[in-house]
Amino acid sequence: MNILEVKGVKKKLGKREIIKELDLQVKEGEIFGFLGPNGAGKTTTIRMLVGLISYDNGEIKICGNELKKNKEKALKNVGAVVENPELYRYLSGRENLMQIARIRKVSKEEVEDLIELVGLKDRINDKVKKYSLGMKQRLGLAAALIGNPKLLILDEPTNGLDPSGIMDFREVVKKAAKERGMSVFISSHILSEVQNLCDRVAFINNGVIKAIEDIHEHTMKTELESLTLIVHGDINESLKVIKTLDCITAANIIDEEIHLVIKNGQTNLLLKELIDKNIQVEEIYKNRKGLEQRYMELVEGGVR
Amino acid sequence: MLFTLIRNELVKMFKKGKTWIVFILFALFMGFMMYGAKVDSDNMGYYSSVDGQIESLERSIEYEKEIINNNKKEGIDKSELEISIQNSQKQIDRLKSIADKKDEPDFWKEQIRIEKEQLQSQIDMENSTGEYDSYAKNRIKEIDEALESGIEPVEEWVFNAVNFSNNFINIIGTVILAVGIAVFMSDIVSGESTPPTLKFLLVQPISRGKVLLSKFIATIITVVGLIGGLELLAYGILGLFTGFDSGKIPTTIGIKYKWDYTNIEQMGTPQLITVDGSGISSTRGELFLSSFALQILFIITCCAFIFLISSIFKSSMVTMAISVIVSVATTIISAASSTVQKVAHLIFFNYGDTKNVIVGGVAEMYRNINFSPYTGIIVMLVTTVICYVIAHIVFSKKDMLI
Repeated sequence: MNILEVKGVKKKLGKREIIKELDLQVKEGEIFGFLGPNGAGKTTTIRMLVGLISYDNGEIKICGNELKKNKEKALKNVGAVVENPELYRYLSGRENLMQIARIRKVSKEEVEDLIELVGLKDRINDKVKKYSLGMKQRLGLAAALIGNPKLLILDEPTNGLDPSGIMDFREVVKKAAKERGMSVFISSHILSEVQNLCDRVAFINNGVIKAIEDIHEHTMKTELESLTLIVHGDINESLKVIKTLDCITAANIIDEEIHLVIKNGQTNLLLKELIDKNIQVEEIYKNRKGLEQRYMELVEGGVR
Repeated sequence: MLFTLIRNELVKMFKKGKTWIVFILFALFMGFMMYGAKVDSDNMGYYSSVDGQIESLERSIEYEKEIINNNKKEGIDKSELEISIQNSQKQIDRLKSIADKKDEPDFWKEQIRIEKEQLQSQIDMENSTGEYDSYAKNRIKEIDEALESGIEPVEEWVFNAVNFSNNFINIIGTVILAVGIAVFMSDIVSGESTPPTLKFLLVQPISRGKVLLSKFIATIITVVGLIGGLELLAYGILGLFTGFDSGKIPTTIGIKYKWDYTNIEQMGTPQLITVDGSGISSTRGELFLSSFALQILFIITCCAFIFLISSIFKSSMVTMAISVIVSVATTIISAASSTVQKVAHLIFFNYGDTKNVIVGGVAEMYRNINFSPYTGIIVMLVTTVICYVIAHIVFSKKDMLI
């Protein structure tokens, strides 16, 4: 069963078409990643999914309820944190949660369970203005989980968190999704975050979904391979020669290293041609795998 | 659901430090006004008493004698000063003659009868102006009612619950109330855009219409509760100390004005005079209650107007600046510009001094004879509805790019 269905959605802000065509589905219990660079249309999409902005064409259905026609019913099944969790700074963490709990008719006991789940028990009575960013993210997540929604929407949830904060947050989301059986729609431009959390991923760029694929670490189907080459001698001369090779799709110099993109399976041919052309190879290695490489292919158009 | 949302809004409102700061400032302002009114009342009380008047006249005689003796000023008319001294002395003698009776219960009746005679003699004088005649006739009417009812009139400057409350409504009505409300509630919607806490609320399964309505109702409850509650509290506490009897004192309300084309001013405009017999007999207590009720409506309209501004702009500073500038500028322009004065009765800000609206004096202030409490009620209700409907449309339709 699809919890979220997006069909042919378009959105213009002013004269600019931000979302050109959006089609995706999120299945029940699935953690769905939404990947794209800054300005790709991730936040605009999420704003549309939670009803903060309208969409010009198409339809968005949450648990079968069309968002435009049946907004209240649709949002009953959604918990969301859009960008940073902007909570009322002058209220305590508990009162912030109670604001939502009262709207969703959720008991105090359930709120206590959520406080426990996100690990804020000791600080929940403090005012939010005293919270660190990580604590705010946790509180935002607890607020989004109130009412046990079927779909949890998180927009770049680890922005600004330190590495341990990111790991903690990831664990809390995984735990919440597993224990509560909810679908999670998570947007990010952090590849490792999506790779570690998600079952499927959609790549978006310039307001268009480029692909939706399953994530299987290290086995993601790719069309191109990216390598790094370190040479002896004049690096610029070497680059000139490399660019003439048939197997090369793209090549450039970054930090005294030559970054190459070749078609999948042509590594052997590349090595042969490098030797034939008398390039003094000191070191060569594949530097991108799986999701990162796929991202480069779909979103960045190859090498940076 | 609406009740829950209102509750949430009230929780937020009363947890904000700003709410209590504005409330305490308003209470301090009221306390300061109360202290000033008490000091003024004591001073006025003394100088209008027999002893005070005698002291004042004696000082005047002393000063005039000093001028004569020292002959300080050139071209001084000594005979004129001597006549003045004689008149003052006569008044002192007259005051001393009635001073013995000042503790008698009906002493006040004698005093207001003298006042009535003086007013009548002024009206009968040839050089009396139409404006003065209107005032004198209304005052004579009040004196007659006091004599008939047997209730001792208390001057409006006397410090008591009713007088203070009426004067306070009068003082805060022009600009202060509207500006105070603007400062207090300018962030009610726009304040949730920076920082964008509104997102937190709008992703919940509730319609935007309900969110907006709950904010509007909660704001009205808070503003009316705090301002009205404080006014009623002050009335009650002062009443416990000074009594509520002055509420029974007769007063005239609903005075109507007309243009006197027989009496053209220097600028070529006719004079504004009261319509003879247009006032309605009421009491100061009734005046307070009706002014208070109309003030509540004015507060609601202010809230609706500022609510509209707050719904349009994302910044609470911009909302506050616009609300304050509009309320102050509208009041000043309405009073100063003859063009705007013609439509001043259609601008709700001009009904803030609700005591003056009930009495009728607001027509004189804005030189517009179309002011009346009923016009005020209609203007305020229509403004409230228009502001809220526009705020609703803007808020419900706009994309939340916060």
